[in-house]
Amino acid sequence: MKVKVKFYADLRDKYAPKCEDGILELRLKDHSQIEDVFDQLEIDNREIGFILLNEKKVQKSTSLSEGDFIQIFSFVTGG
Amino acid sequence: MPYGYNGKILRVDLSSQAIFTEEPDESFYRTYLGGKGFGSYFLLRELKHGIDPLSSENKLIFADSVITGAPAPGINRYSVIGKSPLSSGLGESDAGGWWGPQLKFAGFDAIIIEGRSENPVYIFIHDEQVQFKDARRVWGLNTGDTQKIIRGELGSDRIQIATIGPAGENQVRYACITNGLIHVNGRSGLGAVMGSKNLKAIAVRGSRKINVKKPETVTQIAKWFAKNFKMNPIANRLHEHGTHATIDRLNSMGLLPTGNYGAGEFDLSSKINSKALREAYSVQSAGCFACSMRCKKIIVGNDYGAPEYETVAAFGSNLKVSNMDVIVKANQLCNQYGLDTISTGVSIAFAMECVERGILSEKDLEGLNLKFGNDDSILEIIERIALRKGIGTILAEGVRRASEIIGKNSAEFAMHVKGQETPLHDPRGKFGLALGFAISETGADHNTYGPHDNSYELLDSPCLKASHPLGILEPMDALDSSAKKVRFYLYEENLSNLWQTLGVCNFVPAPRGALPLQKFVELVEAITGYETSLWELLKAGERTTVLSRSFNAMEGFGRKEDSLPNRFFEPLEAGLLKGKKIEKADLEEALTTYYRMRGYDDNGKPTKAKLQELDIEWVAERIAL
Repeated sequence: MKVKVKFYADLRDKYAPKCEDGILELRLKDHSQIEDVFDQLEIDNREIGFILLNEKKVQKSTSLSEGDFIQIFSFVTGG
Repeated sequence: MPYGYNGKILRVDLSSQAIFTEEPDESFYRTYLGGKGFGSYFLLRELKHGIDPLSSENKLIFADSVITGAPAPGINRYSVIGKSPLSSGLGESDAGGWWGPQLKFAGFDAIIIEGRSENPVYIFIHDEQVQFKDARRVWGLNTGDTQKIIRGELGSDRIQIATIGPAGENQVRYACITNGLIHVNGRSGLGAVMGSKNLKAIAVRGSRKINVKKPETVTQIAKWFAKNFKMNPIANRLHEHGTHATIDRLNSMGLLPTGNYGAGEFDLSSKINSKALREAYSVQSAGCFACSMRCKKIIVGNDYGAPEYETVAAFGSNLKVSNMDVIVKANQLCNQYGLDTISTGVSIAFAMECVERGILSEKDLEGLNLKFGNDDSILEIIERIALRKGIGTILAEGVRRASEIIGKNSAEFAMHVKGQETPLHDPRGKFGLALGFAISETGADHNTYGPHDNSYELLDSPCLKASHPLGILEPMDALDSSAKKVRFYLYEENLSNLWQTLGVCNFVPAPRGALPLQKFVELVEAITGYETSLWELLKAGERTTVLSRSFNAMEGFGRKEDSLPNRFFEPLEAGLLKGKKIEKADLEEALTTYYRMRGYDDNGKPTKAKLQELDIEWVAERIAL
């Protein structure tokens, strides 16, 4: 199945530097979870604040379906 | 001879130029530890109810802790505490650098300043010797010139100087105190209190060493941190970029205050981010005493440092300004005049919204062009605030009083809590922050709990894992307002107040920093010789929280003061979180839960049983229980 993954702020430079608007299109095995996206792209867990799947907050164990849109945001602490 | 501290507190009466040394017992030190703990203790015991914060009756306390000055990272901060001219409640602000350690090396753990000098003075403390010096020569001068002249007079560039600028002398209600020109006790307007006492500066220099119980363990922990902190992504980012990297991240999440907190996204944010600063300026790292992290950023050729996140957002996105040169210069002017950059920026945003709504006219502004997005007049208005000229006289009062003077419903967009201007964070996307802004005894504060809500959303978040020793085990949504969030906030608030009590930088220990909490406890034991625990230390953090709350209760503060500016109850206009707002009912319910968890009554006042549990029953009399 295919899903789209969008990265924000400095994650964009690191994980999708050549993609317009930071969006990557990924091909995954059926029954994949967001965890598999992290594995495939070698994303450092410790840099991630939260994840939206089709605009709803989810954990990495959430299962994916064809055409899903995943948004990945950086970790942010107080200034 | 105690380990970690001197056992001496200096009391200075400026009115009579008398000095006294007090030697509290061991139990006092172990109970109150230092910093905000000492400060709230002395204010609550000694200040008369209802005094004017800018009168000679106020006291100003500079406090180190039982661990300040030991050669380990992140434990070099000192607090300044007094009744705040912004809130008329507890004022506290802490700063890093070298001043705090030098006070310990000079033989004292804290200084209590009383009274008011007839003429401008500064105090020089050198190896337990205290001198009053004539400050008429430096009165009216900026912080940089003051530091240079005093160091020249005293004959050493190694003397550390905490000073006010002209803004403090003019009693701008959000004037700050600065040491080393880049380390700032920014919040609570304590520079104005110093100015009201005719005290320009405190210069310190000492040659004593801190008597540490287990020096080899302290060295071992310092070396461990130096070797390992870069493995922690938050610590490494702070080392590389300082706090400035936060601009892009908050903007992407729809939480970058823009146009006096109207929106959460600034379309020109790429012009004010860390990359833009580095393209235009040569940026280097600086740091504090004995800390390997070096997260402070400076600009080559500029003595006043590089703007950090709060300053960039205050003079950038929140004014819709994208001119990095103006932001750098605004930072420099604030540090020269001795103004808190957060309150100054938010006061200017308030003025801009008054202009946008037709509440302030061209005539009121006397030639200034204060419109969102226009950077022409920003440097000029900073000067007028510092020198209390024209419209600057009104803005120098802070947005709460300014809105009372200006009227015309301007209070609706005066961004403050308890009279202190809001930091550059938007609680509409983080409910814990909403609680922190509302509850904080010093007025709106973004540091009442360390890592904000978005750091706890994922099961494998590093902050969540690092908070396990506190008993926080499960992830939670940033917008969650349930009792679970209140419990999380309360535990983290105890920890933050522990940091402000021990003079610890929250960038160094967990959950935000790279030093695990267990190692931190080991460090305290190695310095002080106490056989202690996270339990005892967190109880000390809780004690400081309750002492601070009790001071405000003595001054008549209650539940109605624990609120938010109206704007946060209205929907965000733009950005990822467009339409989000804080529900008043959610905040009220969370406050009730918080008070009950804390051992407060429904008006937010500590109960006698809570005071007894924390072994501060003496407070009961002060708050009429």
